[in-house]
Amino acid sequence: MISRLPLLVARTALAFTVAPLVDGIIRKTKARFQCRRGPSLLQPYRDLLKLRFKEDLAPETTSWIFRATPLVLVVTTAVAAALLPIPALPAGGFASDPIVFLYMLAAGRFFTLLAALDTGSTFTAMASSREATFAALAEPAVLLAIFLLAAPGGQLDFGAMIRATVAGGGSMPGHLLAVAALTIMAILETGRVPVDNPATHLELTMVHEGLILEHAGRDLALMSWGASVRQLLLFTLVLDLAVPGVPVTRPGVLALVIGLGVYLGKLALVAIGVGTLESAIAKMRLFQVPDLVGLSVVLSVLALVTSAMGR
Amino acid sequence: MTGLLLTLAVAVAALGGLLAIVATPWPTLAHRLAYGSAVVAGLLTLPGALILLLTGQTLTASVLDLPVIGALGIRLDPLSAVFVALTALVGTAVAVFALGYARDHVSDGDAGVLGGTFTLFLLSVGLVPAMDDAAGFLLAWELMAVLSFFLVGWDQRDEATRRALVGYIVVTQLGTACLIGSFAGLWAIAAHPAFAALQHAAAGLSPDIRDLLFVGFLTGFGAKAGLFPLHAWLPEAHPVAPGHVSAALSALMVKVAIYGLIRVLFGILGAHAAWWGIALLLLGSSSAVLGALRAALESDLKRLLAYSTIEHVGIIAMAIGAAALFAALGRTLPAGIALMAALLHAVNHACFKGLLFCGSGAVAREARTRDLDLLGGLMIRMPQTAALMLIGAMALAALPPMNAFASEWLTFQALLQGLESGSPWLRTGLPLAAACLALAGGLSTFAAIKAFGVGFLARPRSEAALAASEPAPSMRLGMGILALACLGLGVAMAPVARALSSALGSIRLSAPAATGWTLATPTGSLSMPGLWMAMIGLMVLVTLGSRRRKARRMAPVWGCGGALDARTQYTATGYAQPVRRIFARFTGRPAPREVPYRPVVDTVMALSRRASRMQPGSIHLYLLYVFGALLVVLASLRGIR
Repeated sequence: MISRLPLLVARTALAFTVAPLVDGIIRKTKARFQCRRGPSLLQPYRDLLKLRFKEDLAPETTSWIFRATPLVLVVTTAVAAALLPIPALPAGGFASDPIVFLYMLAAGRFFTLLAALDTGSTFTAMASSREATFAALAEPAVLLAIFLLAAPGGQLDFGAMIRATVAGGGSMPGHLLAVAALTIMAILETGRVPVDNPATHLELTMVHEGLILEHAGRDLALMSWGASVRQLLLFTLVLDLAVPGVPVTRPGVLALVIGLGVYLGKLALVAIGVGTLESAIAKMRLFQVPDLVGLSVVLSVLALVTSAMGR
Repeated sequence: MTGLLLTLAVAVAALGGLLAIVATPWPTLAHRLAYGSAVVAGLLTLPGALILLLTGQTLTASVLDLPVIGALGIRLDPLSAVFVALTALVGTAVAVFALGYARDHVSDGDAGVLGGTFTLFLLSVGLVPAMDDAAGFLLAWELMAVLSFFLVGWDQRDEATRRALVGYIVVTQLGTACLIGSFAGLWAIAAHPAFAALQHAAAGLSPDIRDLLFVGFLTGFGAKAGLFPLHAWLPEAHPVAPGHVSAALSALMVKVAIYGLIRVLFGILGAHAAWWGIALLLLGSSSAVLGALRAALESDLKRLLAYSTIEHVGIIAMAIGAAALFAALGRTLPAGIALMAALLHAVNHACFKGLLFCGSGAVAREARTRDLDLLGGLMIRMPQTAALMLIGAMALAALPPMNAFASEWLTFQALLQGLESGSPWLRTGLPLAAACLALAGGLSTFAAIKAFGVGFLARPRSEAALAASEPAPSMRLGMGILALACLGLGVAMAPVARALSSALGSIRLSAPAATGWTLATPTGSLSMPGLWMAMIGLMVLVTLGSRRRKARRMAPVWGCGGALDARTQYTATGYAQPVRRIFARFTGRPAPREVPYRPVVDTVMALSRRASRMQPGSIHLYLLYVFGALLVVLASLRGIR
């Protein structure tokens, strides 16, 4: 455990460093589609830094739950980040459990949703109710896809799942269907269009932005940063299982640099893809979201039948 | 030594309970005597049962040479010891809580009868797992049922409560009838009521008869545990009882039914048919999803918790079902892991559900309502109770790093064990079961957020909630013990799993599910202390790294230019609206509780009216008849032999 500590710290540090950049690329892409030059790629970092030095405000009604939530969100997200391997970087043989990963993110969300109720504001509570509903629906769909992807490797472990994908399972029809199901859920869980519009300015349609409406200053910086890292982790999860690339066999400085470059390149492509998608389609109505979850579950069940009967 | 401790505990509980009832004219004395003896008995039992569990010993005795039935066999093997220890731990904490909670009854004058009955009830709950023959088991089982009937309707005497009580009595006695039928059948074949004799007899039976016996046992234990489709009485009966009684019912009595199911399935019948496991998996997943969905929609705090009990019983039943399925397929290692998950989840659920029911009792007592739509702001007014309830709510949602997360993790692992086997049906069915478990988990997280967020945070929604204050110290102490148990079990889940492996040994299964402080199965491993250390370490680091220069300023909430007050806040009903709308197909139908029971209740009521000539109308006498009838049945079976 102790010997693997540097690796875990490195994964977490990487996730927290890169996450705002992904937001920057998505925003830039959307700006280009709108024929604007758009803010610099580094703008999300500047925003975080600016908020860090703003005054902290808290609604009068709130308890310590509201004040502790930014901290809890960052901590749970950091533990989740430490668990998620990046195939092109050394794996370190550390068991990284998908269930702990998902439930860690769920614990962070639990506190975020409680903090939203703590304000007593109707807007945050409405966002809380919607996000809680999406989360409850998403959980079985995500888990089913994870279970399917874990089955060929015989272990509930990200490392084993990636190895099974690299070893040739990645092109099996069951695998492709499960990855498609997981991708849909990643879009839902990160609160992107068509489920939620992160750029909206109308409180009534906000989900994720609504949740953090009452946070300010350092608290808001931590909440936004936590949300970006969470988005990065879900994108990385899909990348890991869709296009893992070749795992590092002989660690060295060169391998590390190439691996990091490949990973960042893939992330940038995903970010441009998400930005394009957001520019091309409209947000769907709230009560159409269950259909999206249904689509994911249907894909998973198809994957299940394909792989169970195929062997 | 252990024998002495346990005998002493039984004597203390029995004497204390009876004396308290006798001492009713002196309510303060009776109140203290009743709950005090429950605490003392619990503290005597806990070390005794833990020694049995840790050393793997078995304690046997033969007591009460009854005139017709014969001597009752007592046998405490490690499996029984788990449930006896659980009863002692949770029972002690709930009795401490009741010292403060039930004080109102001192002025009402009925504290002695309530307390005495409660202590005797806890004793009966602890006795059921200790019984080693069908006669003793059914006697203790029926004693537990009869005492619980008295306790359920104690505080509320309105029409709705009476209906809930009648429903409860009918379903419970229906279940007991099934149990008596199955036990009596085996007893008649074995010609001896001892479990060992029954097991021997069961081994020689044809599969059809065994299937029939299984259905009888499943109905009997399922009715008591609140397993779908015999669950509808539970959310009616558990919430109307006084707070400490609700806690004991949901945390302990339900677990005794789980014990019975495990004992009969693996200790007597032997898991022979794969369909038994599949049936349990199906019923378990249905209970888990339906219970969680109803909990997500419910606005009454105690009913929400009762529905969540159905959900968690469903999860335990899923794990038992997976164990039975694997055992029938001859795969003993996965069977052991699945049963370990069931045992751990039963222990965890008892701790956090006891805590949550005590807490909701405290809220109902201080804020004079259980309706979430009238609560709120308790985090400020009852900070300690609220913090303890938060621990319970996180455990209810199975979030890390709480205890229930570890047992749910192990349940997921158990379901994955089936994927290597050849059958396509298993490879399709078990992931779907895991998806049901995840859906139940998601919905129960929703329910936990709603219950805690609406009930305890933001502004109070009524005058009563505004005036609420922290409850008596003994109530906080009782809840604190259970919260500590939740946290402690969360850290030490792996050592606990190793201690419980002797319990699996007593039904000839083994589960190497833990090494050191790590839960480990062939498909994955989980270090709960590691998780705790990581979270606490990061918490300290982030706090130090982001120190603020000056304190937060308190400011009004953004209200779009208008003023926000308690009445503009979201309610629990409003919070659940999206879920209600999405699942309208499953929840829009008329209340399902009417469907399976109505004919049974009607028949029983008609028969009762006809038989009312021999009954003066006292429910106490009715219950005595039921007890007498059981004695007659047992005696006549003795006669057959």
